[in-house]
Amino acid sequence: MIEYVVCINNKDNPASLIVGKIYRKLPDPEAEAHHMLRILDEDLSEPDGYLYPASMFLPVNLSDETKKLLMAVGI
Amino acid sequence: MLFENLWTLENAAALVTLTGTPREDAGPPLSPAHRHPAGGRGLRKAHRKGLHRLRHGLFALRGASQPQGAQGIGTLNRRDGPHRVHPSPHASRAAMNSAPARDVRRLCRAGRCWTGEDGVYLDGEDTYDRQSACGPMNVQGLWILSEIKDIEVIASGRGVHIGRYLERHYGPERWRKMKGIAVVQLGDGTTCEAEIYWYEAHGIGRRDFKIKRLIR
Repeated sequence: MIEYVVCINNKDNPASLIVGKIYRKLPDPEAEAHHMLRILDEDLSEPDGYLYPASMFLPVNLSDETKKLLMAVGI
Repeated sequence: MLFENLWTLENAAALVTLTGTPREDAGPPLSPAHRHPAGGRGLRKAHRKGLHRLRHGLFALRGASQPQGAQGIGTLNRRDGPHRVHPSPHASRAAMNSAPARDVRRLCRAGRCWTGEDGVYLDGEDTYDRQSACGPMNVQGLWILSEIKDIEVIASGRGVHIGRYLERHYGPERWRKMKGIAVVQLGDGTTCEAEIYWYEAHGIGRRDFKIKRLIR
């Protein structure tokens, strides 16, 4: 189940995140236990993503068709 | 006449900030009587001095990329003050925060630090090294509690994937993607060792710290 979040705060990482942009959230239960999310940010050279505070994002519900389109473009 | 024109140009470079507004504390412009008595040599020296100011003015332009709420450096006459001020090699942010306001203002004018929401920031590439030697530091929202060890360069120049975003936010430089290991404090207060990544460039410093993985 692929989940997406929208960035609402990029104050600490203005070059890696863009406010209002949708990012893919990767599963990382250990990080989520510490209120962190593993996000595939603008640096697509790292397919594992990076850990960011959960307060910087909000979850978004997208249709399956939208998710397929986003996956097709590599997000 | 030529000397006077050039001298006026140099004074203008000294007194006008990058935004084009005169400095309030710059004082009255120097009179032609202060011109170097050696004639041509003094003129060349003044010309070099003008270039020096312009060059440092360009450096000060990078102040636009400082944290939100930070005040820009915005001065061209680094050498015109009564003292040529630089923080000592052992300066720390904690020391700067406890320094007299007059000294902080002087260093800000010299382009060696700036003030923001969290107090005084030191400028330069080794800023965070100085801070790490003095205890915990909050680097762009990430608390780093130890010195960063096992530092490696992952990519540089065109190999940095988000180079265009770094140039947009911090300025065009030869950016390097770095990684290292340090003890960090997470959002919920947990302290653990983590692999951290950041980007750095000469003259700008380390930016965009982020955690790659938790080690233990």
